[in-house]
Amino acid sequence: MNKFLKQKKVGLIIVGVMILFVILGLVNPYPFDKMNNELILKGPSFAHLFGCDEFGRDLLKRTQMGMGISVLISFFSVAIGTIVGTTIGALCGYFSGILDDILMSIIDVLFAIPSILLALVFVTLFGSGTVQVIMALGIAIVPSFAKMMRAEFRKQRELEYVKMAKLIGVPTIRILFVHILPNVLETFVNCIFIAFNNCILAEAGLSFLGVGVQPPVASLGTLLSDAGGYLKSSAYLAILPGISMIILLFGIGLLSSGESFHNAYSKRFKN
Amino acid sequence: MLTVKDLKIEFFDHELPEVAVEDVDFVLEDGDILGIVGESGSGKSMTAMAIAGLLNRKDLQKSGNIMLDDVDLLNSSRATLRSIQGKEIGIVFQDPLNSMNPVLRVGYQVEEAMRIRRKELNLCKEDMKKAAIETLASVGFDDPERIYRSYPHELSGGQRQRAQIAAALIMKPKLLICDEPTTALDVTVQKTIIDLLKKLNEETGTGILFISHDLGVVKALCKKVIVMRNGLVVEEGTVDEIFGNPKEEYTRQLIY
Amino acid sequence: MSNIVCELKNVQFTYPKSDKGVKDINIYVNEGSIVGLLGESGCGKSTLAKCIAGLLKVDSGELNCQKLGYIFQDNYAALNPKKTVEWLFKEVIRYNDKEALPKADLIIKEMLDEVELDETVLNHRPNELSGGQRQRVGIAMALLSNPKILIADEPVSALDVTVQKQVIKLLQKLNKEKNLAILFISHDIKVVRDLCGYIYILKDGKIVEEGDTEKIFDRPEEEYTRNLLDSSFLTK
Repeated sequence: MNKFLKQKKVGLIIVGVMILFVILGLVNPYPFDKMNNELILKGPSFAHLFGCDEFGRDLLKRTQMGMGISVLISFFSVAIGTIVGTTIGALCGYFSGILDDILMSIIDVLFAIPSILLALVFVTLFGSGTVQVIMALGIAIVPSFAKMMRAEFRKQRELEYVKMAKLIGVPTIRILFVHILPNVLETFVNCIFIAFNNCILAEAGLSFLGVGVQPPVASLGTLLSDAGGYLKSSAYLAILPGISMIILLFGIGLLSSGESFHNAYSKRFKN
Repeated sequence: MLTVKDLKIEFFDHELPEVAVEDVDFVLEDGDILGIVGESGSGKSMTAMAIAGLLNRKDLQKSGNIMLDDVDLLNSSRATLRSIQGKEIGIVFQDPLNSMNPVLRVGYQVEEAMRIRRKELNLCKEDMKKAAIETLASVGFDDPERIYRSYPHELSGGQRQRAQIAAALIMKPKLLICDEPTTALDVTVQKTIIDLLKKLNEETGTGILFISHDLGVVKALCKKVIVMRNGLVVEEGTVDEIFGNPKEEYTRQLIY
Repeated sequence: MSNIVCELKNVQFTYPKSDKGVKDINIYVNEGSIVGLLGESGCGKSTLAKCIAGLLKVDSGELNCQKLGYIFQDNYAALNPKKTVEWLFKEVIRYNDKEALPKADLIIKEMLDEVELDETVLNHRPNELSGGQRQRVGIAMALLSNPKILIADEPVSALDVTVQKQVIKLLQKLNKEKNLAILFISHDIKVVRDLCGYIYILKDGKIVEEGDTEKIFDRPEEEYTRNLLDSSFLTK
């Protein structure tokens, strides 16, 4: 079997396990926000596998929930970024000219601003909260997506099958998204996975800075940020959520490597 | 000079072995021009690569003999092959853009076969340059000095192909293998290359193994022809026999 | 005098920022005839084909062409690699004649017969087919829009000789049965001689010679034409 396909299988298994981890959190009986004075900073035990935090809350429940929140935020950000970025990229790549010049200039400006800074500006303007974080991260993804898709669409535009579709009289929107898009699916899917990874990291970064989700709701970033004060005495508070995040990122990273599942170059059919 | 006997090449890409070439026998006499004709997938290029000693891949299995004078090219060591490649055998490939290194000057690439044997031949830089320019002139360049200094992309397709022939000929090999050398060229340029090969063959007595899918070109150049299909030799004979009285239906179809 | 299905008068096209293009092109194609456009690489024959199809906008001159079908050179890019043959056929029908869509299966079946393809190809993607099959699919797609004239841009150059002959035969058959005019663009003199009745020879964006096939091959007037004929090692 091909090396990349193996990697993808491993990635798929890892991501599947992590999703199961999050789903199991829904049936976890401990509350995520109820404080308990008796359990403050209690280390891992059979009753509380990940131990308890500084307010006596079950860390396993909070990690499961935090990962779920992180994944949801990333999912919506990537969705926004993908839709906007692909549309801009497709239009710019397919029609060159003034539209391309203008949109690409804007994209280049966006590129010049670090995404965290962009998100901070956004949060300062509109206040902190989950929706704001989603919007900010979504906008941060747009430039790289637009650039990638533009290059791909430009390459495809020159190919004969696109000219053929034009001659048949297929409307441009359909040419872009029905004829060309399946042919750039490989790059498209890989872009999504990479963006997803970046999003989870960026969300953690924002939450660490305190502009992400608001307590008592947790995300991976807030868990790590809260654990910061107890690194010496109760390191497990940072280590366990941290490792969970690394495993998730690793799994998604494997999914984005190499060629896509849709290997169209199947064995030749001869009569 | 060149004798190929019972040549068989098999692939092991997939689970079952796939036969690329089977039962190929032919003899190329000193100074002769032999044409191998076939369509894509007929095994003609495979045969040529085997003769050139370029089939050292693990997923291939080869059997039979390819004798160049007294050396068995198919079953000899890599070191022996190395000493023969470039010196006794020169090769010209189809695509003139990809078969020359785009970042090296033409002259450097023409000298290459000589450069790697510089020590044993006891040559200095000037000797090599002189030889390269002579060879470039012999393949019909009016200004070999300029060609020597240019890069491949500065030349036209026909010029590049001639430079490639010069690179193959610099050590005055006994055998020149041409794998579809004119396929990527325009017809008018194709003619000049064919004329050049003919002239070189007459003047230097270099044997030529000419591989093509175009029977017309083969007819103009070769004395003997082998027609291949699906890895097998379908028909062989002199040009007059093949064109005057083709025995096989397939050969008849190929003739345009 | 038969009807003219495609006519070009003094057509001129130059690529922006270069001097390449075509100039003073006068071509006409009669109903049901096969006309050849012969030239070497870089002579502008593909440019001209694109002008006729409307993919490039001509700078000046008159271009009158009835409904046309276009066949590209066979390569993997000429048919969308991610779609099945059936999908490609239906796409043509959808945008050519929407009312015919309910009858699409029947139309496709008839078309497959016409281009001598088996129904099994329908569920395959283009890159799973052989070169000859792919080119037949391309021809079928061009025919589905009921054109009066086919523009064939090097349709057989990438194919093996034996497959070439089959495709040529198919084109001849279509020409005869459907009274379909064909503008056949190629660099291959042998193919053009076998197929076409009238030939234009293009060089550096200009037509250097034109005439009936016999006249071009027996009594070429221009030096360039003679050179071309001389170089192509005709075996018949």
